[in-house]
Amino acid sequence: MSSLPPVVIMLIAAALVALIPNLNTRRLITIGAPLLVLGQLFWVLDDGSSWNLTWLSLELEPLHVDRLSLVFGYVFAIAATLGGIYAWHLNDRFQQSAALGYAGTSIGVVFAGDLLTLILFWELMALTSAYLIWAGGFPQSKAAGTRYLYVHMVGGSVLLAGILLHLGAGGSLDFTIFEGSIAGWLILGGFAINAAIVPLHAWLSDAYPEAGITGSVFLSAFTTRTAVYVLARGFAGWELLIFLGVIMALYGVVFAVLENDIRRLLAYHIISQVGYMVTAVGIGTEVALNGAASHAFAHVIYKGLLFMGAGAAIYATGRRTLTALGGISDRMRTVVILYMVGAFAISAFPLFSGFVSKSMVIFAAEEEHMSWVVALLYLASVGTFLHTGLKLPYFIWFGPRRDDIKVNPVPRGMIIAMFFAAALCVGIGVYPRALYDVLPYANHYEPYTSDHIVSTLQMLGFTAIGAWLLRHKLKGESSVTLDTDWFYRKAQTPVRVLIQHPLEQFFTFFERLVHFTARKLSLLAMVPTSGWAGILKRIGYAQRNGNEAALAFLSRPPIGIVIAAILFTFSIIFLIGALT
Amino acid sequence: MRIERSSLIAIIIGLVISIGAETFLVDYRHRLFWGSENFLFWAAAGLFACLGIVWISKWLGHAFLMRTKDPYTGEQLDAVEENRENE
Repeated sequence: MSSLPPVVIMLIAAALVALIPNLNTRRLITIGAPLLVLGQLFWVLDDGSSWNLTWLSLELEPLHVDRLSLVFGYVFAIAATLGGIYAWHLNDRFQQSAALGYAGTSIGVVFAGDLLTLILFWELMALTSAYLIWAGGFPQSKAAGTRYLYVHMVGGSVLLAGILLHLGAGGSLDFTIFEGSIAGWLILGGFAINAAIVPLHAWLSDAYPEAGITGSVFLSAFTTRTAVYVLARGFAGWELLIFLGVIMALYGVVFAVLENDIRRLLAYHIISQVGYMVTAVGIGTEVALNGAASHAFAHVIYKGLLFMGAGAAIYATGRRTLTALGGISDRMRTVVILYMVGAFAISAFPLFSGFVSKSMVIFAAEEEHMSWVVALLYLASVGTFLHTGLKLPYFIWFGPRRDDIKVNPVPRGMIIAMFFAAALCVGIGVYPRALYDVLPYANHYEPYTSDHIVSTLQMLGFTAIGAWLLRHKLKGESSVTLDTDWFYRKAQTPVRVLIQHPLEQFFTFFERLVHFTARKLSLLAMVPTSGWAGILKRIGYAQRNGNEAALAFLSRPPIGIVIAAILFTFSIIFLIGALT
Repeated sequence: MRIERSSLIAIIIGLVISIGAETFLVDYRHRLFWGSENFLFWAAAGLFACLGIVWISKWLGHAFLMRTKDPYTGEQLDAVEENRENE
């Protein structure tokens, strides 16, 4: 029982939440279950714990605990708890259930010791998270959720194909490091989609802003970070990932400049920040993997906080674009202060969590003498502060006061969740040992050197000056930014015309043919001895006019004749048998 | 580009603080890449990186990526936003 997989607790909780009508009970379960898992991870499970089962002669390991999985497990349980507090006001049991299921299956992926368990929870994760987008309530939520699910189904299929090829080639069911075979590349492709590696990233910026306010807080925490975890476990040291990670870090920054929708802007910054983690996985040294894990940990918390702040602004005003907001800071002071803690954390200011995690990734590149990687990651860091620390808060809350914007009060649960997330951001920044002590490998990196502090403050300070100079250029514009989702969204119409419609017509033709044949045969069985055309005409007339009595009358004699004929035949056979 | 008085004051204050911090707080600055060990390198990097990101991104956006008409629904976005605000 002590080794029961945490996912089981979360899935039982999700099922209960879906069934229990009482709101307060549901609230307690939504917060209590992840807290229980957190307690289990801290006090019950430790490095080496496992739980095995045999299914169809396969040895599965739904629970495999080591130091890497524990870091991700801790932060996922914390994120689910904070998300539950943030969603305290939400009275939608299916959304609450989906959120718990999503968090639970993400934890399931993290502790999966074999590839079949992994793919099972991987697919469930896609399904539960898609529901959070569908339930968003925005005009584009349904379509965006469906696109999200399609992309993840493709990703899941590629992953499954890779796993089957791997097993077919005699590979082990254990989830360990992969080789550069076709199977390995397919598995990497499946993971890359969830990690939002450019150009497979567009599902993220397309779908996350269309989820509900509480749903997007959950979404910001799990999918990409489980992908970072599986990459760290299966593909550490693959140099291609360094290149892809750096592209991600810069790509997100460029698109964030162009974005007007506040949560889409934050979604692009998820891509950018996950880029740091992917780069670290590609570097693959112990300090780099520590950097990937610590940055994933810190990022889950501060990105959740940023989404909470943006969600609070949308909740209070009903507006979601920079051009529609501004000048409301005096009416949302607490939210602004707590949001800024997240903004300083993501921008890697000293005494905030990003400073002690992001710099570890850059330090890992430095140790390997990858100066171009270091330079480009610093460049992305400037872009991060520019958007999340300056552009977003300035255009959401600051500027000339706007009395035309009505600001509704924000629920207390939202503020409390933001407060706890902010406290964690500062706590990790002030006392990084708390994070470093749970990392997969022994740590020798020291973030607080005078050189690092002064250079960071110089860089960010002058970024702020640059942003102030160009603040008119940073203003949001009412526009749609084309991204790689353009290819599959534009392909929808030709695919519908060239593939879906002909296939549908083909199947419809055979369906009608089968129905027609069945109807004719049924009529023939009812009236086997009469003239077909006349009988069918009369029965058709009776059916059209709903004349059941006429139909029954017409059916009765022929059925009687058939039964009599069958009985007569059996009688003859019986008689012949008796005589011989 | 016209530099406002407030921006100029911010730059001067930033420079003074940076020079002070770098002179009195940093014992040794190690070389990460070309020029990174130089005096006020990171201040210049922050400023020019910021300007570069904004200019290049905006240029890319206006030249290739941004559309005022939704390419998927065909709606004019200004009108959509105005409707949303009025709701």
